[in-house]
Formats: sequence, C-alpha cells, structure tokens
Amino acid sequence: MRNEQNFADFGKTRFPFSRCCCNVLSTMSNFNDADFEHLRKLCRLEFSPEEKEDLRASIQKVLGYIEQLDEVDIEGVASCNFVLRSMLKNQMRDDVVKDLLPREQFLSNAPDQIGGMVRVPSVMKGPQ
Amino acid sequence: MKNLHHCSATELRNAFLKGDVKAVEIAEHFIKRIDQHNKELGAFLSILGERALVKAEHLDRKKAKNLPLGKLAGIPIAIKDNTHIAGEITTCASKFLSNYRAPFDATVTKLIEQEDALILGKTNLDEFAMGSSNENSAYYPVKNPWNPNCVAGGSSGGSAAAVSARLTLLSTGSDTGGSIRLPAGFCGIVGFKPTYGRVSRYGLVAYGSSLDQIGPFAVNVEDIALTMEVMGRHCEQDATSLDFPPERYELKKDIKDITIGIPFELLEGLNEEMRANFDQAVEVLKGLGAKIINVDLAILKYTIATYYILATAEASTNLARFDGIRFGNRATSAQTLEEVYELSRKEGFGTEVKRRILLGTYVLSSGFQDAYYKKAQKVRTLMMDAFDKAFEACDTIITPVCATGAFEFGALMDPLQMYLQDIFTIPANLAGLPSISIPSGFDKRGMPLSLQMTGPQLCDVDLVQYAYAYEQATKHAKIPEAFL
Repeated sequence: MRNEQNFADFGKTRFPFSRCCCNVLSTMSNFNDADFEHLRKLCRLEFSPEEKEDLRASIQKVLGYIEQLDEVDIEGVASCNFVLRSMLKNQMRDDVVKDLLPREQFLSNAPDQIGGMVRVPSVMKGPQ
Repeated sequence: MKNLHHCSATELRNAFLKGDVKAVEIAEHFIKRIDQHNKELGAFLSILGERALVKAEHLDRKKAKNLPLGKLAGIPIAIKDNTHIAGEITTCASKFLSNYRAPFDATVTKLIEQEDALILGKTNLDEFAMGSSNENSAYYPVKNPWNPNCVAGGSSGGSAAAVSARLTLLSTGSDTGGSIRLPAGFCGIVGFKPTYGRVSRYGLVAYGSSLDQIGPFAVNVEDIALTMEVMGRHCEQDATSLDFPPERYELKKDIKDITIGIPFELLEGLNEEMRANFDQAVEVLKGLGAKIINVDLAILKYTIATYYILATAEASTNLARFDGIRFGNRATSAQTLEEVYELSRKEGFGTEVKRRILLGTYVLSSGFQDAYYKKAQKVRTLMMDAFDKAFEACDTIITPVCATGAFEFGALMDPLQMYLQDIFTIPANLAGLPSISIPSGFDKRGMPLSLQMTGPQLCDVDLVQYAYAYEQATKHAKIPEAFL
C-alpha cells in the first residue's frame, strides 16, 4: 500500500533526476527554511514570496496543534485500515480489460499531444 | 398549482406526473431564477440550461405517450462541480481544471439522469472541496441567501445556497469533514452524509478517499429519502461501495422509545444562544417520547488534530495526479519536466490547496509517518470504538452542526480557526457514520441554526426517520425572504 511506503524513497525511485529526496525533515519545533524548501520540492510546488511566508507560518502552527495527539495512549491499538466495520476485507474482482474510454476521448484533455500520445518536455538533455 | 419553487421536490414530481405542470415549464422556471439570482449569490459555476430543456422536452414527450417515468421525474437538480457530467466542464472550483471536460459520467450523475431529473448546472465549492466557508473558490465566493455578508459554508456552499434560495430543489454535495452538513446548516436546509460507501464515489474528484462521501441537499427530509433511494446503489467501479441492495425509506413520525445520546462534555464551550437552541431541540425530542442519555465521547476532543493529519495525507497523494501532464493546466513557461510539475501546480492551485498538500506530505514524509499518520490512524480506531460503545446504549447522537450560525466573510482568516469550525461534523467522517443536518431555528441575527443527528454505520434509514420526526414536530425550514 502506498501509505506503508516511505514517501521520500517513493520520490527517489519515481523521480530519479530530482535533487531533493534524500534528507529527512526536521521536527516541527525547529522547522527551518531548508526544511520548508525540502518539503516544497517533495510536493512539486512553487509559491510567491508572500504565499510562502503565509504557508510556512500556518503549517508550523497547525503542526504545533496536532502534536496534542501525543497525549493519547495508543499502546496496543490497531491502525484503522477499513472504515466499514462490517466489511473488514478488500473487495476483490477479476482484473478484466474493458474498453471504457476511447483514446481520443482521454487525450482530449491533454495539454499537448502528438501521434495519439501525450507530449512532455524532454527529460534528459543531450550534449549542447 | 402553487408557485413552482415553493414546492418540495416530491410535490413537484407529483404535480408533473399528474399533468399539472409540464417539464419544460419547470426547467424554464428554474433556469430563469438562476439567471436572475446567480450573479448575486455565486452558487453556480456553470448553468446547463440547454441540456435541461432538451431533457425536459424529452420527458414531456414520454409523458404524452404514457411511457414510464423515473423516480425523480421533472425535479430540478444541481451537481457539485467536483462530480463529473460527461461532456461538461468539471472545475472543482480550481484554476487547474478551468478547461477540463469530463470524459465520463459519475455514477451518481448516471443514476440521477436515469431517474429523469433535470440537471440545471454545476455548483460552486471551495477549491477541491477544501474549506468550510466557500471563500476558497478560485472563481467567486458563494453568498448566504439569508444574508449576503455571510458565508454559505463549505465546501459544498453552492449546492446549499442554490437549494436554500430555491434556484433548484435538489443538489448533490460531497462531505469529507462536514462539507454537506455545515453549508446545509448555515443555509437552513437539510443535508445528509450517508454511511461511508453508501453512494458511489466513481466520478467524484477525490480529496480524502477514506472520508469522502456523496450525499443530497433538499428542502425537507422526505426529499432526502427520495434522493437516497436513487443514489444509494452498489457500484462496481468504486471498490469501497457497499454491496447491499438499495434501501427503502419509509417515513413515520413516531420515534417513541428511541434513546438519544448527547456528548454533554463536548458541548460545554457552546455560547448561551447556541445552547438554548440546542436545549430546545432536546425538549422537542423528549416531547416525542425519546429518552435522553449522556454518552462518553471524550476522545473526540482530538478530532481536528486527527482529521488534519489523515485528510491532508490523503489529499497530498490524491492531488499528486495534477501534474500538468495528462490533463488540466500546463504552465506555458515551463522548459523542463520538473518545471512542468512545479509551475503548473503553482499557477493552478490556490493557497489552501497548497497548504494541505504541504501538510499531508509532511505527515507522510520519512521519519514522521509513525509520529503523525500512523498515530492518527490509531486514534481513529479509538474514536470508532467510542462510537460503537455509545451506540450500544443509544440509537442516535445529537449535537449542533456548528458552534455558531454562518459567520461573515473574512471573519476567520486563521486557517486553524477555520478548521475548528468542523469540530462537530468531522467525527462522522472519521467513523464512517451517517449524519444529517436539519434546521433547528434561527439566531438573533436571523441566521439559520441546525441540529445534527448521527447514527451507527448502515443505519441510514433509521436516522433519516428520526430527522423526519423532528422536522415534522418543528417545521423550522423557511425560504429566505429575498428569494420568495
């Protein structure tokens, strides 16, 4: 399950050209500029300067608030993996290929396409 | 025949089936009302007048030929703009999706269409359903029909305001932490969040997948029951959809001998006016023969902390798909692949969406997952256990929907204060419970107040029944004067 996977490692394998996936973030109490920059990169986000300050301050505040969960005794408590208590197992079905969405229809929302495929900027640069 | 928008959905359908009114007249009447009022209210992001008229003409022809008509025949309905209608734009009130045309129908859309409702348009919301006031729409905020200086509540503010002002008689919403019940409460109508999995989420743009649930808004409980019989179906394309036959709602006024639980400890902070309104509702329920007991839900004081870990964690993964590659906004200035991601998301997302992605990514990041996400999942189990125990002793649990009526625009600028608005509504999402918001009167300013009733998982029919009994004994719901 995705949740069980280490998020930073996920980034590492998925985006091999990224420079941002190796460090570990600091705790909330010393959440510094470098941490915020690292987090921003993990999120693939960009901000205006004002937005950045607003976000940094509010996130620090919310993280401070949620630390109250430390008071709760969770010793021996099971993780909630299913919301419905009468359905404590995965709903499985055969993985059958169906023609639900024609290619043209799917591609009609693509910002850029070529020959029935989505076009993206080059990932690797050749020699200049 | 009385004024069409003074009817309930059920009344209007019956009038159409009897031949008292044509479907085209209904469509024209409500489209005209939307044209008249939407500029001031901002409830709709897109109006599908042409589509509604075509459907109405089709219904009139069917009627003329005595062909069978659906359960929602001729009823005007609006769809929250995070739910797909094939061929129409789904914006999620985000710039990111300003041109995104849905390639398929959401299951709810399909069910509603099949039962012959008239879809009038797509309603405004907080961007990606993230917010409690509808101030986070990237397009325009929704105004409260009871007072344009007040918010309509969020995130399904457009759906609530549209029904409250009778621009439609039914609408759909999605509820992740109160996004149906809070705006229904602020706008003085009925809003229902069913048991998790009751209504298919296929075609709903995901926010917090373990919390999201689609449900209806209506002018009364009878219409909620009617809509649920249509929407509450098993769906193969949603792995969390409940595999049970659709429910039959029978509404009776009798709630004698039911036991109602109240978590008195959680109500201690309520101000005098809110407490008086709540106590009045309790007296009504007692008068109907219900027994009142105290239930211990002290663990719910950790509601907001738990929710803002889990919901943002799920949001950060769900919103990773908005990368500018396959659909939605792609920054034209981007030169490299990484710039495509970062600049498209910078341009496309509003600040609150960015905040939640950052928070969710943080709580899932290396070294913090145990401290935040996994701990919150365990606290969630404790909350479910507490509800299970409470429901051993009672049939439904009641609280106000919110600690206040609708607040004014700009009143809550601090995100944490805004998050705290959902303290009474979030527990039902964390525990997957059905929960309904029902008008309970007005505050001194004349803004609507509402009662929330919550039931055990899968007991949707019983819960709606209790709400019906309370509604019939009180009849607090009204049409705002400006929209009579």
